Amino acid sequence: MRCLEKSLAVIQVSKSSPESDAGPSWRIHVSPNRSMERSVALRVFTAISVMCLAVAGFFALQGLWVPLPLAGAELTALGYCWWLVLRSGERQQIIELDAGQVQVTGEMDNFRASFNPHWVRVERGAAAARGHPRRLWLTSHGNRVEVGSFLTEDERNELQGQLTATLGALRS
Amino acid sequence: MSSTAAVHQDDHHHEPVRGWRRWVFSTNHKDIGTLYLLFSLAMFFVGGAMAMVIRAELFQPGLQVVEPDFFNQMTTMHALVMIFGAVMPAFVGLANWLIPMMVGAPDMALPRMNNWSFWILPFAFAMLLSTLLMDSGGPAGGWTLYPPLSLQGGNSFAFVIFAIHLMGFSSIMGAINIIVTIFNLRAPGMNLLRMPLFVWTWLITAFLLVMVMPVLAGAVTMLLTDRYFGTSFFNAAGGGDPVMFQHIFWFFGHPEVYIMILPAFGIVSEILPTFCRKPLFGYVSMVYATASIAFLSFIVWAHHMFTVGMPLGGELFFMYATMVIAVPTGVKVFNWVATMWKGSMTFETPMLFAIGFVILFTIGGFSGLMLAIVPADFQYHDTYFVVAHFHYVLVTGAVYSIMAAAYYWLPKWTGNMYSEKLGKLHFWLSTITVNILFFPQHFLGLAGMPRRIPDYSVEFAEFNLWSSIGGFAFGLTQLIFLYIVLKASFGKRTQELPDRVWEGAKGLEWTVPTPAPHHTFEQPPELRDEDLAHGDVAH
Amino acid sequence: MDNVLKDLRRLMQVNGQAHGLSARWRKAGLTACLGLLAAGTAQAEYGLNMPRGVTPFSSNVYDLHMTILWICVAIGVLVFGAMFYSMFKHRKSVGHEPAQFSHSTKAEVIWTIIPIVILVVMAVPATKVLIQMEQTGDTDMTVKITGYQWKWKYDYIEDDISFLSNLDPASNAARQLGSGIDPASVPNYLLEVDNAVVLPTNTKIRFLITAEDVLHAWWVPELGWKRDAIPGKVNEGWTYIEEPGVYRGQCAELCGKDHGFMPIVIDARSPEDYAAWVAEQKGEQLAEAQQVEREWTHAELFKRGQGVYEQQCAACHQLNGEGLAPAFPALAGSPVATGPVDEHLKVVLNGRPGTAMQAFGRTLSETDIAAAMTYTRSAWGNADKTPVQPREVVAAKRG
Repeated sequence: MRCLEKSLAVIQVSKSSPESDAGPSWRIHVSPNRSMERSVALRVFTAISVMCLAVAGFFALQGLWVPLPLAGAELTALGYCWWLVLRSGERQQIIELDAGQVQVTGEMDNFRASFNPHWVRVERGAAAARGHPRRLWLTSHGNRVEVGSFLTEDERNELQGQLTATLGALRS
Repeated sequence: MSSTAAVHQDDHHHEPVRGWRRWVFSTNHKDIGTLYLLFSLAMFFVGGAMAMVIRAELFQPGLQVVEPDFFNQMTTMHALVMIFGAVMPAFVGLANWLIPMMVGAPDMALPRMNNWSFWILPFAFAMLLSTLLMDSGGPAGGWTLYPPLSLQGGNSFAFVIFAIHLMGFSSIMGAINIIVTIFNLRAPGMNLLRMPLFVWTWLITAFLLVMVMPVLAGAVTMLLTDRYFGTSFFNAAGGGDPVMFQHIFWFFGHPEVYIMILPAFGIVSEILPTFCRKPLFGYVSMVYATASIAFLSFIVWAHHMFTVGMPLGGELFFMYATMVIAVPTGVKVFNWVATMWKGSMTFETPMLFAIGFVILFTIGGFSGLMLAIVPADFQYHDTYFVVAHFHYVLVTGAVYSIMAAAYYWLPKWTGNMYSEKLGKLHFWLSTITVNILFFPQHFLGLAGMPRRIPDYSVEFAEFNLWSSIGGFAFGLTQLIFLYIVLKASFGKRTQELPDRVWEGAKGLEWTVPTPAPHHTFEQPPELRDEDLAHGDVAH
Repeated sequence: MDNVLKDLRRLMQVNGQAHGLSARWRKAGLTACLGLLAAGTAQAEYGLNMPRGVTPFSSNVYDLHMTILWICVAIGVLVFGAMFYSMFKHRKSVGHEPAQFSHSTKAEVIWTIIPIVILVVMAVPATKVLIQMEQTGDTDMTVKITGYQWKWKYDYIEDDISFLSNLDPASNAARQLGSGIDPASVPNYLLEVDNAVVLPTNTKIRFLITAEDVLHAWWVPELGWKRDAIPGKVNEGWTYIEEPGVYRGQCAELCGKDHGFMPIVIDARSPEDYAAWVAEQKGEQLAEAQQVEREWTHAELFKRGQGVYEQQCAACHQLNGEGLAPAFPALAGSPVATGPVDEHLKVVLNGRPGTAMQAFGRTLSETDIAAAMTYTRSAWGNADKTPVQPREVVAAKRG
């Protein structure tokens, strides 16, 4: 794939060498695909804001001040939406599975949880709100951790399949 | 070692919810795109019906059909409905359907906001159209809403302003969504200079929308406060200046014109290479030309108001700046001709509409260049010459590109191929009648017929007669289009179509099955050079 | 070629006199043929092209217009020619194999530079003509033009003449919805006024253009330009008419329901004839001034008032005094028209700001105001038979 300058696969599965002591282990890296860095986005947003406010400011100087607050409100909305998308793009989770434990690490909030691979189950819950995808849980003994909360419904389906398959392979 | 899991889960594609909930609560870009397109089609016929009233009244000299005040309501509403209800939503609908598929994204970046931005529109237009039924009638001061005239009407004015605000909200939300989607959700490898031109033109259009929508909202808000809250922004008696409204309106208005034509450039740049079986000529210069046109659109607004009495320096500046637009626009037209040159052309309906676009839009461009010449504009301004000019760029420009797009992607959307015979009939009838409709209006304007008049001197009778006949025929011809679209959308599927519906089609949207499944590209697709519409990656 | 055109034009003029629908159809067909021919000639007239006009400026504008038109036609022929050649030669059905080139810096530079050169060629004469147009100094006389809904007022500053110019009654009757009058039977339908602007030829005339209510635009094609009339702003323009004649135009900026019914007629006369006209106007003014002082009977005022009302008031308040709800109130039985004379007079003299009701104190003579008020107070069942005397209007104006 010569044209891929950066591999940003949504769900990346790597399997370590099966000859190691603890038997085979899997590492599932989950992150959404995003194509613009925060710093670039900030520069583009600043450029748009400067131009938009310059225009509204020009009219404000002529005594027509009403567009200025409206431009401000619009840029706030644009900035907020963009920030939401960027933030969700930077989220990632690492699920490491081997014979000894299943460990979930969320890099953004430094969250970490571990489960016994023989007891852990992959479950789907209801959607958090209408229009949202159904949630995906790892549960064991009353503890549960949501995985892939930033994925679309289809991406969650795929992750669910991947987790179930990997756990099955571990248990066999 | 790492390997990318690319498991296709055809077995658990969840089906969309059935019934009205699917459409009302939809967050799927394809469903919302469909809603936008159908809404636009409906508004095209509503606005068209108003045009029929206008042409019926102008069929003969003398007043036969409507009172002058209702005539003014018709011209005003026709413009508002066609601009904000038909052309813009059609382009947003195409953007919704195509941009995620073209950049390899699973959906728009903010799907729920997408739902909002569509569902505001029916309410906005219900409010706008309801003013026709009110005691004081609809807005009759022209779509430009120039004060003091626009402030003379009754209280339906407040509804009109509120409706325009809602349309503005809808446009801003759509623009934000498109900007964020294009920047953040491109598939790996889809860098900016590999994007299809339709995506490029829409990115620049969305940028224009963000720039000018606060200006429009501010301008109409100030009209509202002048009318109801005693401010004097534009009231000469209170120290305001009615000319300032024209400046601020056209600061919005001129970029708005390009908002309605840039995506059309994108569409034509997708369609021509397909049916020429040859890469688009000058991809990079197309991108730069689009950006230049967008930039220039901010410094030419006063060419809409040369007759208000500007200082000589201002008139010269705006004349030169306006003339300069001909350069990037010319580059585009020359590039399209070069794309056709030495191709291997076939003439399916989308291609016919695209070629019709290039020729007839260029004629509109020529009259635009003539209008830029200030001394001549003192004669042309506010005559039917201007009416002919902007209908050439909007009807045979923007609307032709939308129809080309509809024919081109209809099989991908619906899984049904339209009847080529009917499509060609639609094209040829449209092209003949639209020229009978608008070409004589050049002569009318030059001979001295002002625009927006319900009745005219007997010397203008012949061309108005022609124009009206052309108008009725053009209106009727569009029923063929309605039939074709409805049949493809709701008719039974009769044949299996390949993914790549057109032999020469390039682009990621042609790598997904036909009809496009409800969800596409849950996995970022693998990009191959041969899928790019402009072939040559190295440029 | 020219002879063919002339014949066609003559043929059309013959046809133009018969006004059955079939005649119009035939004429339309001929006009269309002429339209096609006109593409090949610069001299086409009869409503196909911009008039050359009767001022030095207007013919410059005409030449500029034709130059740019021809440049556009030439570019169009080249571009569309290349397209059509390509469409016929490079089609799949004739077995043309597609080339695969996708850019050529040389070609792209060429077709960026050439248009720039063409634009410069266009810009030079355009700039010259524009600068000439803006030379408003050194004028011999000044006429102030004021736009009203829906009439024009002309003030001759030096000669102290001033009058209103309305759509002429014959056109006005024919243009009503369902009037049953064939517009073709009305001479100069919609392009005729009651009082034409009389102007001297071979004189540099300055115009000051403004409006009292909404935007209007003053446009006579034969003079070669139009200017917006804007409330609170005075625009300047000038002309120098070279040929005596009658030149017609219209308001060109949407100004409300009767925008299409406020024509402009210029009656250009030789300076001598113009001077005679001025003297005549002066005499009439004097006679009118004497009339103000005398006592008028109700019948005299009612008769005159009906004429004034139909010309000045009926567009909004309607001939039957019922008005047009909601913007234009009824006068029949209205509290103002049946109430105290003082209040009525105030409204008529000063208008109602923010509505279409104008301050007629500034446009109509005292006698006309008195007559129109007498008429409205006693027509359509309004019962006040006491005449409003012109004297009273004079007194009210003085405050």
